[in-house]
Amino acid sequence: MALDSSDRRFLRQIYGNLTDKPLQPGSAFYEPVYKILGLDDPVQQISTLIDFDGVQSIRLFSGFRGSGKTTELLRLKCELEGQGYFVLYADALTYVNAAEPIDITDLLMVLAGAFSDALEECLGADNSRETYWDRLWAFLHREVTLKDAGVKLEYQTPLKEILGGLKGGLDLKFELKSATTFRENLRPVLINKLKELKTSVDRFFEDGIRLIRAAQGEDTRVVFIFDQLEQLQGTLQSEQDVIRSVERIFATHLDLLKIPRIHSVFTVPPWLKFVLPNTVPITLLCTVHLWENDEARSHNEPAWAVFRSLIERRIGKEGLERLFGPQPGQQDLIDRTIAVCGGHFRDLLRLLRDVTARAAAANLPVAPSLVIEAINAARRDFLPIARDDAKWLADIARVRATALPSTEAAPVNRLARFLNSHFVLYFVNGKEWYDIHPLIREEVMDVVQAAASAAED
Amino acid sequence: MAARQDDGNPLARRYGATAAKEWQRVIAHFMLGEGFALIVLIVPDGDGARLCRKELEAILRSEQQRLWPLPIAAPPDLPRVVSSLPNQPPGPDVGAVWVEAVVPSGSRDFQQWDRAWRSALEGLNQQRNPLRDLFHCPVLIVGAPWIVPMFREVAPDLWSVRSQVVRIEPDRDSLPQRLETARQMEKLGDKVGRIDAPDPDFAFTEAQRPLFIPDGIGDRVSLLVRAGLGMLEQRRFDEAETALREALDLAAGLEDPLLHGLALHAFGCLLLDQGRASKAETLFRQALALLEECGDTATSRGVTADMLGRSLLDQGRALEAEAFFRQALALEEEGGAPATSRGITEDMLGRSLRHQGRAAEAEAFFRQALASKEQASASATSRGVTADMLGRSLLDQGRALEAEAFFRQALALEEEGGAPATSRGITADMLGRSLLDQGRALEAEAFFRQALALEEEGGAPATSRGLTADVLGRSLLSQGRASEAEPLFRQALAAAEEGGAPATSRAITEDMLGRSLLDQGRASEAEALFRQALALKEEGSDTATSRGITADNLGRSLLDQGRASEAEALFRQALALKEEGGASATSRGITADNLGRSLLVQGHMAEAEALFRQALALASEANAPADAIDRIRRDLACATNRAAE
Repeated sequence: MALDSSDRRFLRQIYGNLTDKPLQPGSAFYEPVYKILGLDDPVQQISTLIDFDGVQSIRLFSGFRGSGKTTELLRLKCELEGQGYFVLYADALTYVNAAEPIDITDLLMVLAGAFSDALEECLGADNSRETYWDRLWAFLHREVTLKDAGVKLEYQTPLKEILGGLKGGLDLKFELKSATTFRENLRPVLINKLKELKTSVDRFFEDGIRLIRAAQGEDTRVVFIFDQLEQLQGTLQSEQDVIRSVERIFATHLDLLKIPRIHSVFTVPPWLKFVLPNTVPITLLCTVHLWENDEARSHNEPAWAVFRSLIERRIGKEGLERLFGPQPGQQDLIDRTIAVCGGHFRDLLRLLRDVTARAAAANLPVAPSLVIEAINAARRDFLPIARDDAKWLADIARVRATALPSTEAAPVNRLARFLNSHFVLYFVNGKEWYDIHPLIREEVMDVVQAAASAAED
Repeated sequence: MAARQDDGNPLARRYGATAAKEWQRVIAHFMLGEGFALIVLIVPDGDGARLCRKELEAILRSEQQRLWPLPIAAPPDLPRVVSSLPNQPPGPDVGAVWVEAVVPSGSRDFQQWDRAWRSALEGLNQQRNPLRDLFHCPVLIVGAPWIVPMFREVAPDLWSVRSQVVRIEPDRDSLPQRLETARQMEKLGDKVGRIDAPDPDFAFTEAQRPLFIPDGIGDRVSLLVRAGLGMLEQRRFDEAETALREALDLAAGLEDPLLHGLALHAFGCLLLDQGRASKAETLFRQALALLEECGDTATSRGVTADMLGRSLLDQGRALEAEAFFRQALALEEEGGAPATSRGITEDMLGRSLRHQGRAAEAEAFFRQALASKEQASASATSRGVTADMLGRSLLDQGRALEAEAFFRQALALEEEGGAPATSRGITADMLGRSLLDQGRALEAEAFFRQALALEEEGGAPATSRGLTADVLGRSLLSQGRASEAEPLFRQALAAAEEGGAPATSRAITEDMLGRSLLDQGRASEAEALFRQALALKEEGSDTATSRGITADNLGRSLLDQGRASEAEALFRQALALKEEGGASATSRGITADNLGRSLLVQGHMAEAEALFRQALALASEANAPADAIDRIRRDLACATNRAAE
């Protein structure tokens, strides 16, 4: 039966509901997955630790792509604001180039600069107030060059060359992000002035605290969320340098990132977990395990219930009947989609959206073949799988661990790519474990088998 | 946003129903979605992109919106234009942003485009959040299939928020069968000669003379290799084997990797000509390793890499073969090999791609090969062989009219070059197929008859003749000449059995024979054949769609005999199989209609009516031929009338 206008309205409605975007706190679409499954709620965990940590702390938060980081960060912000904290938020990608290595000096500057911009936004711009960019400009021009002029004359020359073309603090902000040469030239100068830089940054934060307290009350506690730093990954050419640079910052300079009298939350690349195991505590969002870590991958019913509930929140009971037809066929079709999402909400939403789009060109309720077509299309997004990748993936599926040959940058990055593209899934229930995405299990085994046959021949 | 009634029509005509259905997903997105979305549109070539763009422009125009295609003419434009994208959000009149650079991996400037895409996607990856925040409409990234793994790899953040990946590909319904048939009939590619051996007997006699110099064994190996390759050229396999085996034994005792490598290469050629591809592969691998070890010339190593590719291709390992043909091509270019040699390897590379179903990429290499061969004034036969392959790659893409031109060119070249009758017969057969695909059955018939005559004249293998008889039968059947088609299908079946064709191949011909009987009203005879065909397809693990087609035919033969309830079961089975296999909507519509008929005969009016409605929806959705839709409408009217009575 062809679709009528009411069907089309219905499909438009659920297509919109299935859009993948961060959920605002209190959204009717939010599924309290951690609470239902009895897992550690990352938001509760961080907010409690912040509360216990007194006046200042540093927290690292991470998750692979599509794991719901932004949604959880928004929830964290809301939770902390509810507890009376003054929360400032900044997007790191406004300030750093994710494709290039980063240095502690870069990070300190952009951290203070981002805080400054966030403060302006929250308290309102005030021309008489000095921004961090103005202060940095002054720092570089007056404090460093003049102070050192008598001692180390050579500082003057490079700084003149570096800063010669810039007109003010705002230029500095953009140059720091976009001009590779500018940063590269600045680094050797500033690394020798790290202590001075840190002091100036800390002083700026302290001034910021004073401003906040003047505006919000003397007891105001401040949290600064520096989001999107996890996007640092480099390009295929620069990835190893980027990994090493980030590793260096968090392994060597973590103390320098602690901000006086401020609780800071950094989102960091999830691969830090592999590069710095057991050195830096990271709150890492895991995937919901729809199956158990046993040979048969036995069904984890509570997790399935979470996903069914999530679908119902987005489509509604009546909507499900209209889209998938009556029971028991309806449940079968829904479960087919859940079975291939690998425990990732984003993958499930995309699949259901595709089913909806396909339904617009077919009939309602949808035929099982239509759901199968959508699943097959989703599988093709993972293909082809290279032989070497298939071998590693097969090992992961067998041992349910990363099977990481070393913590060198190259294999770490490859594993991170597997995790970010959901070829590999990261689970925590009791302990950590890994598995490959259900959509590629057969393909991986086929490729490995074909490779073995070729080797025999 | 309202979808146009004729959505996807040009795409359906060009690529078939599956592509049209994929395109419907894009239309659905524009109908249902709002705001930013990332749509990755994969098309086989620039023509496909153009068709899609026109369709999308028409859709947006109907909503008073426009498409904003980014100006990308050369590789450097791509990263430059894409990097500036977030700084210039589209105006309110823009309904979608179009970023197109469709370059087959076989094109000459592929490397530049590969780098351009990589750089553009890496840059765009960092702009994911600004894009999502600032763009109120979808961005379509339009490229060739090879950009998908690259996208996943270099732009994971952007990839993770993709809304759809839509793949416009030539219809797969008929492709496997066509490929299977074509593979069996594919002509041998010409070879790059390593050593000229105009008089192998003289070389062999010289090699038998007593040797008086200390390093004379090396000379003997050279002479034996020369003799063996010359004999091989003259198809004197036994003598070639004697000479080459001796050469190999002698070379194994020498500490000369170059001679050993050459002897291994020559023996590999012999094995490959004897159809022992797996063993040949081992020898070519050893030869290549030795030749690399001793620093043999790039051109020479290219020849061995080419042969290694052929040995892999003969084993059906086209992906691995592709890598060696690419290596061979690189080596030949490095060594400045003549254009003829490059043309031959480009032809082989095209074949390896075509065997992987990558027809558009193969096409680019066949065009390149033809150009190289023309540049080097290669023999007419050699050019004919490549023109034939180019025609096949076009036919694979559903471009029968263009294919026809190349098959005609191939036939003329082969006639000019005095190619063997069998070879000309195969080209005539392919020309017939290109005509049949255009619905020109009468013209096709003439070429199939010519092909059959040439194959018989040249003593082509039974399987090959059987395949031509089969297509000749089809051309007759589609002209309604079932009684003439019948003996040809019987001949094809006998040839397939004689030649030991696989079960699925025999089943396809049995199915066709059954149809010719059914069309003559001999339903009970047809039934037996369809049952046999179904059993063979099951035995050969044929696709669900293929089994569904035969189950449907079997149902029709039962219905024609008045056994409606048995027919009903078969039609239900056929429908389930077609759904499982993702058969086209037209195909499923036809079976739903047949099922409805079987129910109508049994007096189940309401159910029959529902099925006719379903059939009509499916056929309309797929823009099925008018006569098929008319038939279903008549059935529906009949069911409605009877229900009213």
